[in-house]
Amino acid sequence: MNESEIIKQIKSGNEKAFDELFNSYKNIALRTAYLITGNLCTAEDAVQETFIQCYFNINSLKNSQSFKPWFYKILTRTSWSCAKKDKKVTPVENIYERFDAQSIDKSIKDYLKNEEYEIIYSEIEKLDIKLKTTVILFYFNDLSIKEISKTLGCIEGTVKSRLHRARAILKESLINFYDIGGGSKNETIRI
Amino acid sequence: MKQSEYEKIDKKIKKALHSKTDNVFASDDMLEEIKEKIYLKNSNYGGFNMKKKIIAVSAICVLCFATLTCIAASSRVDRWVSHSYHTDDINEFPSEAQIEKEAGFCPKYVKNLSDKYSFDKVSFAESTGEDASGEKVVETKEVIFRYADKNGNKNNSISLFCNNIDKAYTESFDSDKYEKSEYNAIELNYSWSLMKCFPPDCEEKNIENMLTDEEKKLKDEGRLDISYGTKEIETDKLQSLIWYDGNVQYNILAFNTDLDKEEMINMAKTVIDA
Repeated sequence: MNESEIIKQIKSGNEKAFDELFNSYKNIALRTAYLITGNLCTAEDAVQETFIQCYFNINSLKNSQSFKPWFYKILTRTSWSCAKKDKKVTPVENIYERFDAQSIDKSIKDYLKNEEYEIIYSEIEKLDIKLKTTVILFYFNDLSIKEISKTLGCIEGTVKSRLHRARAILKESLINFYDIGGGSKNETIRI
Repeated sequence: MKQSEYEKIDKKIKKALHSKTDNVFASDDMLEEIKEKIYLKNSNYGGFNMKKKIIAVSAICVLCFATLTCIAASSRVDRWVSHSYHTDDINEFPSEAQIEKEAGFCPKYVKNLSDKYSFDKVSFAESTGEDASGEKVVETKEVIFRYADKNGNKNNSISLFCNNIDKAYTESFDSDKYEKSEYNAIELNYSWSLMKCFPPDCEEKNIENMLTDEEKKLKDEGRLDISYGTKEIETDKLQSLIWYDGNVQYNILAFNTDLDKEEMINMAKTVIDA
């Protein structure tokens, strides 16, 4: 069954179709909520609440093909709400501790690459929640500018502007990272 | 920035986000938990508008568990996971032996909670308190009695939650949110809150502007919860009366009823005297 067919089946009360929808979205939804909230327990609560809202409100979705932005709209709002309630928007892991523990068997190249990713992630974590969510939806969920604008309820220009700002901030942090000796001269040029 | 620089940074951002979540997977029982919550919401409030029901009952569950969240001897309970056993619902007024058999304990209960509310059905649930790492700290059994409006108004129903939880795991009810009274040396803790539900399209920043000053004050006091999911803006009222008696925590929950505090206290007295 394709997604539109699954949605139609759920609307007609087919429980197996709901299971199928859940299985299609469960991991991506949890990962998205985790990136937004920074806490796995909070993310699990947000995902559960999102699927429950989907179940009860699916009939309000007029166009089955618009499911993806509709779903992410509920997920992002629920994640924001849960994060605000729990006040746990800080990352759950100490990135350097995790890095030390995992790096023993890695080559220097992998080590630096991972460190670079952690630097980028920690900078994403510092972004304002709407800017951060825009980045996550674009880079992690592969939503188009148009889909993000529908999801977040803003115009496409705002999405583009947020992405531009985010790129600039992240570029700056990477330049600083290499300036303080985190990578080779060659890497600096390649940014 | 040049196009190639954009592409390189885009690629790095994408990889950074994916590497952060590579090991994050939904648990095997998440779907089951979702279905149980959906079932519970359906069965608790069958006559309600489905759009608002989800929000209302979510808040009720949060309130219920919030009353149980505490610090135990050495382990902190960070969250509660509840499983209802809907196959065991009993629709006839049960004997104590039936309750004991299903739940492993027998709380005090009555057929008529007041002149207006009589027994509808009883269901059973099990809750697990977990610490921050997801390790089980404590398990409790719960008996949930539903009382229906004798006049057949399905929008009016009351639930009596009876949980055999050690008092060490219950909250102190010191917050200003609780109005205290006493009956037969038992402390009764009354509280109320509102739930305002907005359509999913509402912008969060606009919602703040849509609240009255009084509602903003209630939100700051923790008496107003904001949710999304209804077609139109709707506000619901939740009342709760909690007490602890004989190793059982009792909680009378009333959703959108016209009851006042004294009427709920009289219901509690009826149960305590049973």
